[in-house]
Amino acid sequence: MAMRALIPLGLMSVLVLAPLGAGPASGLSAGVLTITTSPAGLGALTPGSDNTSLALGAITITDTLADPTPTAWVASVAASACAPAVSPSGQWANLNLSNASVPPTALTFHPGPITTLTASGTQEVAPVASASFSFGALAGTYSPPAVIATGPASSAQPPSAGTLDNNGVFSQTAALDIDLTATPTLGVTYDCTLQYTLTG
Amino acid sequence: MSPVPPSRRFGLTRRATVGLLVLLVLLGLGLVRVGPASGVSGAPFGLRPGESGSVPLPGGHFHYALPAGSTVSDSIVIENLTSSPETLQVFGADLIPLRGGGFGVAQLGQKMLGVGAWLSVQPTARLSAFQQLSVPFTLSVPPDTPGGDYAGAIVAQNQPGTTPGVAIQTRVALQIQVQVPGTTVLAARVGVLQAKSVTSGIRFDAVLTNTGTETFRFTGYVDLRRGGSALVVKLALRPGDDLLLPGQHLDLSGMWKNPPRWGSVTASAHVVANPSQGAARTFRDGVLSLSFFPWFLVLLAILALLLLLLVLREAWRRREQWAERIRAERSRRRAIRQFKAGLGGAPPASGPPA
Repeated sequence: MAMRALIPLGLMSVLVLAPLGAGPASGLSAGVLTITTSPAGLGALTPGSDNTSLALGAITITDTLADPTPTAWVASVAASACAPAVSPSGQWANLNLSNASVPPTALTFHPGPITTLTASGTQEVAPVASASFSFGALAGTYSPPAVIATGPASSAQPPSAGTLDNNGVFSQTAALDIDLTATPTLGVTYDCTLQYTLTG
Repeated sequence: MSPVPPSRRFGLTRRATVGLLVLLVLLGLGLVRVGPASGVSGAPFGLRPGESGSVPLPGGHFHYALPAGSTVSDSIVIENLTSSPETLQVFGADLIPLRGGGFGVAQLGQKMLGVGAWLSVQPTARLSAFQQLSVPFTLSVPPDTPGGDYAGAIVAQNQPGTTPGVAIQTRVALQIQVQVPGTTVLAARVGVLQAKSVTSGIRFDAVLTNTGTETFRFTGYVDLRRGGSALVVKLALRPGDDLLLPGQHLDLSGMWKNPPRWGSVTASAHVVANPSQGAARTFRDGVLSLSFFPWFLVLLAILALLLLLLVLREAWRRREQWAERIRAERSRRRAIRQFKAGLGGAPPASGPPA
C-alpha cells in the first residue's frame, strides 16, 4: 500500500521539480549549432624527426538550426605554438626552453574524410574535406585559421528551393603531423592547443 | 505453489521497484540529468538565435536593414551541453575570409574594424549544467557609415582544455548581416595573376578583393588563349561560388594539368561578381604571357645525339683499327708469299763444287 503511494509521488516529483531550462528558451524545438572534438593525447614525440599521423579523434559538427534560409556553415581550425609541458629541473634547471617551442608552421593538419551521421530532409550538403595543410605563421595567440569542412548551402541561395538543407550531424576524423626536424628539442612532452571554430 | 507477491505481478521485484522510484525522485530533483535538451551529446555548448524557431528569419540568423546611426537589440541563446558548469567568453567579431573559402571569425582581443566593433554584448556567460541562457546584444551602426553590406558574428568560446597533449578550444559563431541603405558600389579587383610550374602542371594564383560596398557572390576563371584569339582552356579558380564582403580579399587558385610542351599562351584572370540585386559584372586582370619550351626533352635529345655521335665515332675508330689490322695482315701475307716465291722459283746462285 505504501508502495502504491510512492509511485504517484515519484512521478509528481518529476513533473513538479523538473529543472528549469530543460527545454528551449523560446518554448519551441529550436536546434543548435555546435562543434566538438574528442580529447587526444600526442603520445611520445621523437625529437629531431617528423612525427606523423598523430590521431586527433573525431570532430563532430552539429547544425540543427531551424533557419528558413539555411546559412552555410564553415568549420575551421587554428593552432597555437606547442610549448614544453614541464619546466626543466635538476641539472637542467637553468636550461632555456624558450627556443624549444614548436611553431604552428611545423604542424600539418589532415582533416580526413567527413561522413554524415544524421541528416534532415533532402541533403544538399556535401561537406568536403580539404587537403592536408600546414598552419600559417602565428598571428597573436593562434595561427590564421584554415577550413576543414563546409556545409555549402548558403543564405544567398533562394529559399524557394524548398529542399535546401544543410542541417545534420557530421563527423570527421583528423590527424596531425608535428615536424621536429627543424626545432631544437629535448625529450620532453609538448602541449599544443587547437582552436576549432564553427561559423554558421 | 506460493502466491506471487503484488510487486511481481508486473514483472518487478520489490528491490527493482524501490530503485525505480529512487531514480524517478532523483530525476525530479535534477540530481540525475538525462542530457541536453537539444539532444547533442559530447559538445561543450551550442548557440542559436534568440528568436529561432518562433519567428521567421529571412536571409539567415540575423539579417538587418539599418540606416546609419541606428541601433537594434537582439539575443542569442547559449546552451550548456555538459553536466558541469561552463563559463564562456562572448564577443562580437568581424568575419574573416578563410584560406579554402568561407568565413571564420577574428580572435577575441583583436581590434575589430567592422560589424565586430558595432556589437555590444556582456563578455562573460556563466551557465550551470545543461542551462540555456539568453544573452542579449545590441548592434549600433556608426552615424557616418556609407550604404552597403556589412557582416560580422556573435561568438561564444570556452577556455582551452587542460588535457595534456592537444588541448582544444571551441568557438561557435552566428553570422550577422547588416544592410545599410544608400548608394552602393559593386566593384572588385582581381590580380596580380601569377603562374608557377609545379609537378602536376601550371598553378595560377590571384587575389580577389571586394573594393566596393556591396556583397557579391563570385565565380572566377583563367582564360588561356593562343595567339591572343583562340581559347585553349577556361580554367576554374577555387574557391568559387562564394560570398565576398566589402573590403575583404581572398586567394584564388587554379591548376592547369595538361599544359602544352611547345608554344605560348596568354592568361588573364576573370571574376564574375553577382550582387544580391542588380546585374552581374565581370572584372579582369591584365594579360600574362606564358611560353612553353620542353627544356628537359631538348636536353635529353642533345644528350642522345651526343651519345650517338660518341658511338659512331667509336665505331668509326674501331672500323679504322680493323681496316688497319686487315691491311697489316694483307701486307704480312703478301710478304710471306713473296718470301716463299723467292725460295722456290729462284735457286741459289752458287754452282756445284769443282
